[in-house]
Amino acid sequence: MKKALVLISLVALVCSVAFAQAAAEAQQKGPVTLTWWDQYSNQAGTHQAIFDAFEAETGNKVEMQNYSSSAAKDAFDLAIRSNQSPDIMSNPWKTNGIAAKYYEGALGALTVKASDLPEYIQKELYEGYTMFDGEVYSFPTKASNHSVLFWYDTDKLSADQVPGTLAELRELFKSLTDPANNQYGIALPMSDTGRMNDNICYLISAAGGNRELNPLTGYYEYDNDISKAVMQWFIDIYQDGSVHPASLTLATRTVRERFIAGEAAFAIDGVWYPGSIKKAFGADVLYRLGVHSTPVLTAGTQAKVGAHPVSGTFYLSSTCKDPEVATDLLLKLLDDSYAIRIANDMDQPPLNTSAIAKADVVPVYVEACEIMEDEIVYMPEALLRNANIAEVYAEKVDIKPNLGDILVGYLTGAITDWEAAVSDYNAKMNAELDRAIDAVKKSGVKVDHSDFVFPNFVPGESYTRDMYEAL
Amino acid sequence: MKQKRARTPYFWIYLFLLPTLVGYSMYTLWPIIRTVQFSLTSMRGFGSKVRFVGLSNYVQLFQDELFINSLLVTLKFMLLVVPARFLISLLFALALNWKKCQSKTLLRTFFFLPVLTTSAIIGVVFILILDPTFGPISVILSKLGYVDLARIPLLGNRSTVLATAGAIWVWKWMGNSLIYWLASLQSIPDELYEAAKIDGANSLQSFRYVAAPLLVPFAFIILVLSISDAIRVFNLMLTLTNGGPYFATETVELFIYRHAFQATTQRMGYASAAASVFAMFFSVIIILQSVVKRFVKKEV
Repeated sequence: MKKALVLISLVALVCSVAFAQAAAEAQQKGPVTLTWWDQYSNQAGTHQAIFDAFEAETGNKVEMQNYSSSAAKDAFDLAIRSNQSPDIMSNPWKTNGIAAKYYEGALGALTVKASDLPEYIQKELYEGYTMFDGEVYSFPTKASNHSVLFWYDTDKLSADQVPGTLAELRELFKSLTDPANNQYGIALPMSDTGRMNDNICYLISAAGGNRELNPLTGYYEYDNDISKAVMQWFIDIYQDGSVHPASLTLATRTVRERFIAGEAAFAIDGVWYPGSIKKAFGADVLYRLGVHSTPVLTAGTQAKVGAHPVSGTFYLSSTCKDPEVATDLLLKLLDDSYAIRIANDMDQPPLNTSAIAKADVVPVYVEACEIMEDEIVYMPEALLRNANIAEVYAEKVDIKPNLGDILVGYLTGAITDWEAAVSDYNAKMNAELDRAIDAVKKSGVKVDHSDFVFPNFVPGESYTRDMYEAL
Repeated sequence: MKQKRARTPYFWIYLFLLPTLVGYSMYTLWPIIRTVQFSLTSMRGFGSKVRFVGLSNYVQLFQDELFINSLLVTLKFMLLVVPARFLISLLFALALNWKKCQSKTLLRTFFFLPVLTTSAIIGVVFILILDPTFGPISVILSKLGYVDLARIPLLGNRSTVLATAGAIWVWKWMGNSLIYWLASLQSIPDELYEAAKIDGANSLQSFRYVAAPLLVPFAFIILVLSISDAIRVFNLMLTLTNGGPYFATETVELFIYRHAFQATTQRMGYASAAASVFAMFFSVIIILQSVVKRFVKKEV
């Protein structure tokens, strides 16, 4: 009896101490200041308004830092490596690169269950993108998009003058070029060969080829006729003299300057172009923006541009000082008002595209979003079939020179046979994929090249969730 | 009577050396040791799985055409800019040291100003200055009727980009060498020149037989510093050319940066191997230089 009394007393003592400690901790846990880094400078105002409201409601502050898209990846990687990650960060890595960050231990889970999120968000959650080991790490707030819309200067030409094929566009560029008066058909961001590589791959996809792997074979096919025709088009327009001569030193932002300066009639950029132009040059010049769908190789065909299913927009770092507060903040981004604000900023369109109609935007942005919605098709993604593929992506290294490098190399005389260089690049890409798969297999992880093969894929059509299940 | 020798105060010597030793160990020695250690692994990023791979990164490195290219670019750049900076700064120093030279302080400040300016900013500004459509040089050439010449993108052309970057680099760093040259020239006593003059030496002979031998130790220091600066050209190249066009200006530093930080899948192990090879490359140059210095000293 005595023993039982002593035991009960001890348990009660331990419980009361634990309770008192928890209560003291809860009392001590005052407001926190979260750090937030992103590459969405167009939306800085929108985010700041949310942070201000969050602070008024909870007392927790948010310190925001914006980076340009090109600088964000470097900045975030450096921060992760030096254990100085912000509490919340956007995803400047390629869609499948986020898995590598998870395996590096850089990300932290949200304190919310998938089932607690709205249904339209649940539909877009994929293991390997936004979920890892069944836990929610992020959710998308923006719709899928591509970066090869053709923007033209309405001061120089009207919508009915813009043709739909690459060959016709080449002729139009020639007619618009007048070097004596600093007038050129198009300005390209050729100093950023990574971006040029993306542009080439997107155009290959629009022309009926594959932006990345061919899902039917699981291998890259950049040395086929479609890819070579797109490469040849870039070479032709450059050799015609239609490309702005500063292009070799221009990046995406500086191309915009040449466009607004009236030196280039066309620029290739994403749906966020009006937002970027407005932020850099003011709303007064927006009337000059016209947009055209992605040009194709063959007249009469509709561009279908392959994209990945959408990834998460913001992630918590593994060193986030208060995941609960950070999750509460991120959940504010699910409000309809946020979707409307995203649309107002004319950046990447919101996942909830119905918000665009309610937003205060210029008509050309609405037109660009509609084009994007028509053109985007979801490609199958091996990662969504087998989450272990994340380890293959983490193992696989970049191959240089890529298509963007080869283009610049040929145009500057460093490469004499670009077709051979493309074939070599293609072979190296496939060899690297095989090597990465073998390396991961050897470490005991279940992956196989067949994970990249999707026999039920139909070119030009979206690969849906049920098609993964049908495999 | 034997004088009592004062004891060397080792305790105090080491105590005062301690902060430097600790700092040097933390920020120089330790990173070097870690870099060599990383270079023997498959390390992708900090926190990623790490596997010992022996010398495999080094083997791959010497099979990588772009690494060999970056070594050659670094070497070419060094051979281009170091002699230019060395000689031009010496000429300007001689001119500024000339007794009849007017406004010496103003000119010294003028030449030294670029040294104080950040390389990254210089890179950005020169992109605008050398722009083939709205840059001032292009505008002047266009107005003179040389439109084709004006449209040549000096930074986008493989045959001009390294020389252009080199010229900018020499302009930026010349002031630094100039100050060293001036200090060394001013350390030579006037009496030596006067004696040479009495012996019938002209200005050129005075320089050859009086100044030059005394300048050799300074010249060595100026050369070492110039080579060190020429190898560490990361900021300027990143902002001016980003290594392009087509790797024509990708120095070893940019190569390391690309693999360590810019790649989709970072390769810290590979980049560390490149950094280790680069350090050896730099050490070989410095050793060669000291051999040359001894030879020159004997000859003089």
